[in-house]
Amino acid sequence: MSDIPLWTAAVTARDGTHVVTLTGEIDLAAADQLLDLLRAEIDTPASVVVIADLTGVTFLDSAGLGAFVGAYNHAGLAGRRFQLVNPGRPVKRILEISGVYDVFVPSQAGDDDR
Amino acid sequence: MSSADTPPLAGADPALERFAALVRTALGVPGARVDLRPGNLQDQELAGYASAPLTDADGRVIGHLRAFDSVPRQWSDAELRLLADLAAACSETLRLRAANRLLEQRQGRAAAQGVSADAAFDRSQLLLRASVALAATGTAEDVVDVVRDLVTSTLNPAYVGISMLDADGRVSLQSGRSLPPGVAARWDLYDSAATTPSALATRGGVPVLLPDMAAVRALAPDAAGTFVEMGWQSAASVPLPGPGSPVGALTFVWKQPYVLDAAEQAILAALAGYVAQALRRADYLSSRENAARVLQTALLPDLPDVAPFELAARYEPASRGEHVGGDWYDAVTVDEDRLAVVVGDVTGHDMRAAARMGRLRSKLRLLLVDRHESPAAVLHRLDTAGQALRDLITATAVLAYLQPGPDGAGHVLNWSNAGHPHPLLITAAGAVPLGGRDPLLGLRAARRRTDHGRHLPPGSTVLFYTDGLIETRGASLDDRERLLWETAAARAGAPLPDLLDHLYAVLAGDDHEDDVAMIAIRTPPATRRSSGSDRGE
Repeated sequence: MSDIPLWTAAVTARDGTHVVTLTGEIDLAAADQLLDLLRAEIDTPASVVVIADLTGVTFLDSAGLGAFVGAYNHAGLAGRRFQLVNPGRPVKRILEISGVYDVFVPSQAGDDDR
Repeated sequence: MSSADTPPLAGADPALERFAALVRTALGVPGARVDLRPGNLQDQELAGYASAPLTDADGRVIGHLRAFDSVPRQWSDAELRLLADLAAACSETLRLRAANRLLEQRQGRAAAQGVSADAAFDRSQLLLRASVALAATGTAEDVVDVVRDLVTSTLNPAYVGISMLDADGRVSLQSGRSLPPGVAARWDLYDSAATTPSALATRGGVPVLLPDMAAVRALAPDAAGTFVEMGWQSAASVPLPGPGSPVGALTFVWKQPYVLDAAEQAILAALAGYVAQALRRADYLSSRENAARVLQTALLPDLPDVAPFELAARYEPASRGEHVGGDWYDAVTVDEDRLAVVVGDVTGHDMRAAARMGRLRSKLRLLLVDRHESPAAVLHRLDTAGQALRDLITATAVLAYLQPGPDGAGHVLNWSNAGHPHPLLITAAGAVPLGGRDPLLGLRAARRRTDHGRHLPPGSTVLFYTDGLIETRGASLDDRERLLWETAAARAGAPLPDLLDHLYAVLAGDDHEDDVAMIAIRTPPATRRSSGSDRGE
């Protein structure tokens, strides 16, 4: 009963781009459900690219990261793209340590915080 | 909800099937058709549907909590678990309401009879507190403590006992800690045919009321000696309800004759319901935790003898819940002067993670002994093997080889890092991270990996660890890494087991939520030529 979700997800879709805006703590309690949600977005017939916006994510652990890896692999199989954008500093550090920052986060013009 | 033209469940998606099985089990109606398939509801607006049973104190289904969606959907395991949790919470509240209603009735009757309404109020408060306090218990010992605290100010017994039937049908005392050692040992485990209050209540399935010593001697003669020894005069024991028959008994003992009134008997019966549920949960939690722990421990290797090197390792599960599994370490002598050291972390913290870790570790071991290739090449093979075997496991790992330096001076460490925290080189000069990193394991379209190398002077220590050592929800990773470097540098010369103990105590302590694996290797100290080294190096 302690597993009350401390995270939220909201989806906006336009022209094949599905943006999943996440907030809160993406951890073991969130991982399974998040992966299901991302897979469903990737499998939506109209989607071309699915972007998880991490602006509001305060914590990411290895299980949460596993959900992103699962979504990335699923997108690859389905011929779609999966990307992460706007990680805050603590989340960015986890992505860097795992060596996936450059894989998941598209480089942006004017991104000088590297 | 179900109707004659309900299609069979076969063909529904696996999560729904599992869930349907659960619902049928809870209903206790084998073969009942449960209408779970999307699109079968009367109202076509409702296409997705999941259901969890609500139960009363005896486990009877009294209703269902249902979630609907307007579009067909697959309910994830996590969503279904959440629904089950919500249903459990609703069931608790409904039970509490029923108990309080009963109490209010009794309270009214008691007032009419001129009995103190205060006492009745105290008892209703007791049940309210019981439902809250018992919901937070995780072990049988917690449950005993909570019950004792709860009844101290109302029923005020001299002793509160909980006994459970074990798998062999014997009575097992759960509350021995609050008895003198000799008495606790006598009743630790005994035949359920014995005439004790607990055994009688468990076997008979009805409350056993012993208001004075005459009743104790007549009905529970086996316990009479203990009553005299402890100065007890009366007892009441109520069965703990189980799925079919009682699973044990909750027993109260007083040092004076004590006659329970009807309201007090009702309280004890309600309390027994809460206690039985809390004990079931404690048993479930401990069995799951133990299973994951045993699996994890079984998968970790015994370290080989790697003289002249020193080698030490440590694994600690997370300090709470079933967050076990996933982290591993390994050391393999590849050939006579090459030692492979591995540390890794499979994502997730449960039995599935421990099982995936076992598969990944075995694959890596095979590659290590079979292929004398660089660390980067071996990790690349691990990735491609995972894809070929359709067993792509998301994990981070460092693989390192330790071998003698080219000119016989010191040693050389070669490593490749797949998304893992940097190993730490610890010498008398300080602690420095060994950098260089590629993406974690388990990404489709495996990419090139890179090797890194470093000369290790004699007496060098290299620490490999998993993120559980430095990752917390509160502090920044940079601060935690710095703390690790400082702590390690300050103990550069300590024996390896002591170093690992110290790092664990300072960084993880007793309240970490992730598991932690560490493995450390130390090269032999410099040998002075004049001292006549017999190692011939």
